Amino acid sequence: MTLDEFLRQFGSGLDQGFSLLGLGVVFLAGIVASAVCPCTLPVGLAMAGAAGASEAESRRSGWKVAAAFSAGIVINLTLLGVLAGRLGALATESFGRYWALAMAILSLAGAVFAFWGPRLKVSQLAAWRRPGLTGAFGYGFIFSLGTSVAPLLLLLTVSATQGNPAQGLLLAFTFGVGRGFPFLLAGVIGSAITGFTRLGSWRRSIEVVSGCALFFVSIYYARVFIALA
Amino acid sequence: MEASNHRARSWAPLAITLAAVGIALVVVGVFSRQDSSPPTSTEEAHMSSVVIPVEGMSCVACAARVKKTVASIAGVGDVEVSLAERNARVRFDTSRLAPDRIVAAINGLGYRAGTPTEAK
Repeated sequence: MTLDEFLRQFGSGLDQGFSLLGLGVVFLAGIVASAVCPCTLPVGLAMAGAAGASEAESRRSGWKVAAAFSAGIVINLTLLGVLAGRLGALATESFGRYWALAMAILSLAGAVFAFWGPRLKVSQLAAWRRPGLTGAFGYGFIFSLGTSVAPLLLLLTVSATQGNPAQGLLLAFTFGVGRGFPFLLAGVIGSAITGFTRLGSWRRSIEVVSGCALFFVSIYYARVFIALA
Repeated sequence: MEASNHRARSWAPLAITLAAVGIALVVVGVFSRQDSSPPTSTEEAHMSSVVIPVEGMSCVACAARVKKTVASIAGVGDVEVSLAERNARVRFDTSRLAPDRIVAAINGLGYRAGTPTEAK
């Protein structure tokens, strides 16, 4: 099912104002947008790996990485909901090309850090821990610029909210929560699995899997950049 | 002072790797653009542009898939995919290709291509 079909089937009342049912439909639309987007699987796997690696390094920090990434998506989409009239500029090919380049470089940075970070001294790791959460937030923020603009445009068009900033903001926020939910879930599952394992024996393996996943995501976006060039 | 030097050294491999990859990608992007040779005057006479509505594209990666697939069809000149307007604008050689083939190629990717209309 495409998002267009989902909104045609369930979104008929969205243009008639606020309702809990309507917000539920928008939340589901966010999940559907994640399900049909080809970027979700590689980035979701990388998120699960990164959350697992973070959990292996410091107990109960994995879910925070996933939450920071999802928060980046939610806040970005909420802001975009306010700027609904200008979303078109973010859905052009030239913007998409440089967005894909930025994602490729950011993902590679994550992969390099996943491989090389654990070799840093404890004092250096302490200094990097805070940027880890900020980095996950920024990664989610930038990720949603290229993956969520088109579905959000479609949603705002269907719900006829482009002239109503308050309704646009609420719908975009709810859509963002749905869009970020699968990543939060992936991160929580990744860190829970790590939490159940014996950290000492699995730690290096989880870090390598996390680095490989991010490296794969980097190649994926590099290919998108080249295809759009 | 020594701590900041040490920190700068620890960042260096990451910065160098990222810079190298960024430059490599930009170079590949520029060269892949120059690959397509401009059409001759005979080919130009048969060129036509159509706009094909495309349903189901949700992100830049979808747009890239559509663009790459359509651009690889023999007879296609330029392809521009718009996520905002949810369509693909294709310039192609009418003596070598029917628009239906482009529609079939897009449908083959799992998206829903609509009826092509002549571009204004």
